[in-house]
Amino acid sequence: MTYTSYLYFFGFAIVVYLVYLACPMKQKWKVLFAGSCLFSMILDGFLAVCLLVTSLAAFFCGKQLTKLQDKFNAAKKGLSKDEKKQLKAEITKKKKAVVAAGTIISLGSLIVLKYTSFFLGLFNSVSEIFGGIQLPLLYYALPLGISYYTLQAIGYVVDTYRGKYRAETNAAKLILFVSFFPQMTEGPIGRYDKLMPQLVEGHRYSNENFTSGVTLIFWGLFKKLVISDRASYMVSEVFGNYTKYGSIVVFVATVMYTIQLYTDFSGCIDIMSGTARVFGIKLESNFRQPFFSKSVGEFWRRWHITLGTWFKDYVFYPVSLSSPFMKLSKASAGHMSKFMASIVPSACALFVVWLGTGLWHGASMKYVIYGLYYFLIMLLGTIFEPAFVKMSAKLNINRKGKTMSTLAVLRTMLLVNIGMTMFRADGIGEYGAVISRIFQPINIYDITSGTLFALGTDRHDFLVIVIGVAIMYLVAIMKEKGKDILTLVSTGRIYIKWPVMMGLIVAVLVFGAYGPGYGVVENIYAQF
Amino acid sequence: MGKNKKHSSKKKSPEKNTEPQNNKKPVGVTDKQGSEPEKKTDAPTDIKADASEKKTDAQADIKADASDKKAAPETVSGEAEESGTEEGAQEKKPKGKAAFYAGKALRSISFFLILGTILGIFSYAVHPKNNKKEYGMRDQNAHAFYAEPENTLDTIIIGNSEAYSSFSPLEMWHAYGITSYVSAKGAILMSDAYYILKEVLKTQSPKLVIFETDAVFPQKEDQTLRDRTINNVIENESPLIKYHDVWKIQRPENYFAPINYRWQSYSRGQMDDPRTEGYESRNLVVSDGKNEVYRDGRINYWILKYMDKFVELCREKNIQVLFVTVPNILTTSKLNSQAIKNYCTSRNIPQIDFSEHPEFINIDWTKDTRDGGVHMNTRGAKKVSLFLGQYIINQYDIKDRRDDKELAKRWDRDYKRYKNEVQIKRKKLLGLM
Repeated sequence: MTYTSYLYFFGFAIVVYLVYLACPMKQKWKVLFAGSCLFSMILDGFLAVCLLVTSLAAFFCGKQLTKLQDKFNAAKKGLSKDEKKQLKAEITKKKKAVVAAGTIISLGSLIVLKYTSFFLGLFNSVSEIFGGIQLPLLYYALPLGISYYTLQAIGYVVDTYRGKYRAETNAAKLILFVSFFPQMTEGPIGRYDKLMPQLVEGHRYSNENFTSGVTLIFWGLFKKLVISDRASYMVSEVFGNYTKYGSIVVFVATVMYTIQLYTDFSGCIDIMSGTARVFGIKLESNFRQPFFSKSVGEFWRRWHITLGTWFKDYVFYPVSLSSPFMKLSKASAGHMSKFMASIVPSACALFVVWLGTGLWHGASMKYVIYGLYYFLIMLLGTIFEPAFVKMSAKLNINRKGKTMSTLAVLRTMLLVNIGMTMFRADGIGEYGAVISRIFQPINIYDITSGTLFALGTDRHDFLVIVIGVAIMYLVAIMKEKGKDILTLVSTGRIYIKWPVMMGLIVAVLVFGAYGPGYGVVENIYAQF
Repeated sequence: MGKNKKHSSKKKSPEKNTEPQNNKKPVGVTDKQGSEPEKKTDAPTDIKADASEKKTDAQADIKADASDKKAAPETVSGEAEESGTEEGAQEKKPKGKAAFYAGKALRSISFFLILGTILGIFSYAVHPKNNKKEYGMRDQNAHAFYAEPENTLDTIIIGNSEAYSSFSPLEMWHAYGITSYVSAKGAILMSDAYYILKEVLKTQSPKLVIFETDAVFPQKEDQTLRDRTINNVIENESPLIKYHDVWKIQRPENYFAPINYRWQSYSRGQMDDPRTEGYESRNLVVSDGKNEVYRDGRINYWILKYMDKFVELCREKNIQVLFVTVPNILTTSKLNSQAIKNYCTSRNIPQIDFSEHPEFINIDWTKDTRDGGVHMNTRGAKKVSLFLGQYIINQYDIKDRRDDKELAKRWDRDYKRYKNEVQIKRKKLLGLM
């Protein structure tokens, strides 16, 4: 049951919504709980089991952590300073053990299911060099969404450890938090303190929520069915047989893939957020016009935001504040120039973050390279920044001017395009081959012969994609300028609301790539 | 009174007061709520954002004060719907409440009316205006029955590729004067079979419907069949969804042209193929099907559901149903045959199973198939059709129509063409043309 199927909308989402509306306020969350459980079971029985294990582990760890904290708070009264310190150390030790257990259970299941074959493969490659034994590779069926809900559960445990909030006392509520159906398979990765209150409080029907939710769903369907799926046919043809095609075709295919990836992922997130919005629940936003970024660093603050902030809060900070890194930063301050001393420690922490980000996407060397590619670009950017500043001052270039900003946006697009191509290529070798194909001499025949339009995405599809992207671009510009179309639609007057809603519905129904003759294209990010 | 209360609460909590005023407030305020994560990431923008938030809050306060007075008469006239909150509605007096809900209902109705009209226009614009492939009709052979004169087809044959390969209406005509049509699609879904039958019955009133049973075992997983059936039903119920991508090939002059399904299939839906690629042995050994996926006699829930609907539709219209199983090496098995037999017994449907009785047609597997035992070729189809024609004439109240001169003229002409085309295809195969 994909999020774009009739079964999901008519057989599941609408039914859950009607029951949700019919239930009394205090019971509403139970409908969401039952719906999410049912959804995971329909998707995959194994997923339901994994979700249950992860949620219960997080639940008991959280409970234990709050209990320890309460114990400390109760006991510390009347103790001397030293005794307090000693008690705190003792409690912290215990808390660390609990948080480690919680993380190991959640992360452990993710690692075993997702990365066993990758690590066994690595072992085999190393072992081969030394003539050692070869282990058989073990592949497990990976439950959908495991990479998302695991991070969500870990975030909850770590936050309770940090005392950000008290642990949840109701196991069913925590299960609902970890498995809330709109965000189960592709995120956005939610935070307990923001999501849980909304899930539990219950919402009445509201015209505004309903209108904005439905509009967002159709906006997501527009991105996914009208743009992404159309682009996918050409992309799979060219990436599957890249040796057959010249530089222009391959380059267009890489651009198409970036478009496909963005519209697929953000479209799906919009469908999910729209569904949640209809229920009165606001999910975290995952994208903020990423293709307006002037640097790769900015791009990653606008693309898959919830993953970035998760890594920042639960990897970057703990790593930077860990004792080896503190030592490193002290040592670099003593031995390096001021500039380098400011870069080296954070670069090392960022290395861990990007290695993690890369690996999070999948158990393969190409994802490691994918993460490190962005890391390297950002690092080089930081290192050469002073030189760029000097150079532009000498050449009298205004780096913040319109032309330079546009160039910076285009440069970022290009760099991102090169990076995203790695997602689609089957491996590092193939990735290199595809990229080198782009740099072959340009052959005009590719265009004049009509090859470009004969690869599954014909000239009509191209036209639809170009118009679709132009509409997305306009909406994005408006959003950058502080005018959110969605807000206009949900709160504005009929002459704005109706044309937008009707336009979207008609566009999806008429120009969507669905139905006979079109295969269902699986969501790219659901595989991670 | 209520207004005053609202007013004083606004001053106390600026956050609350912005809610019902959402439409009047500058858009930026809601924007900021949406971009909360961003604030965290960039420290410098944080300060700016804080300052501007205070400013907008203050602005909103002043605006709210001013607009409150203005908004009062507006809300009475039912405009409160814009604010969208239920609380707004509950504050109204009973009379205003009724008017408010009536306005709301009227709006919803007009929204769907306008949307429906637009969708209707698009639906007509993309609808194929002729039953040919070039006009956007899929499986044109299955849909050429539209061009047959009304109520002239006595027998309708429905099924998948086995059906359009194994039955020859023209051979049945030539030998027995039976008028039949094969409305079959490759890998047909049972729901599609049901809808095709429904469509045929709009212009024809057959006495007999023959269903070829290979479509009962489509060699697909249960989940795929479920999803495809749901999609298929929605497509068949909504022409816009079914033909939505015809905009790619529809010529502008045809957007609003009348629908005229006049294309006729001379072979009456049969896709004859004289190629011969025999199965290695003269006799097919039918597998028992035990422990074999798709040959274990299990009928999928969705298939069964639409088989029942198919049969019910025939019974409703007083049409006889006959199930025929043409043997093939892919899906026939003893268990599958048994499953069909059980189904037919339970619903009292007559059945001919050629996989159990190959002697009925004296089938030669080395010569009668076109692709190594999966589909009949022209020769095999003739054998099946002649047997079936005889059976129909004996068992059903179906007349020899060769006396009807006008009809006979058309059918005889097409029979000649059919024979001719087969010769041409044979010659092409032998490289003589």
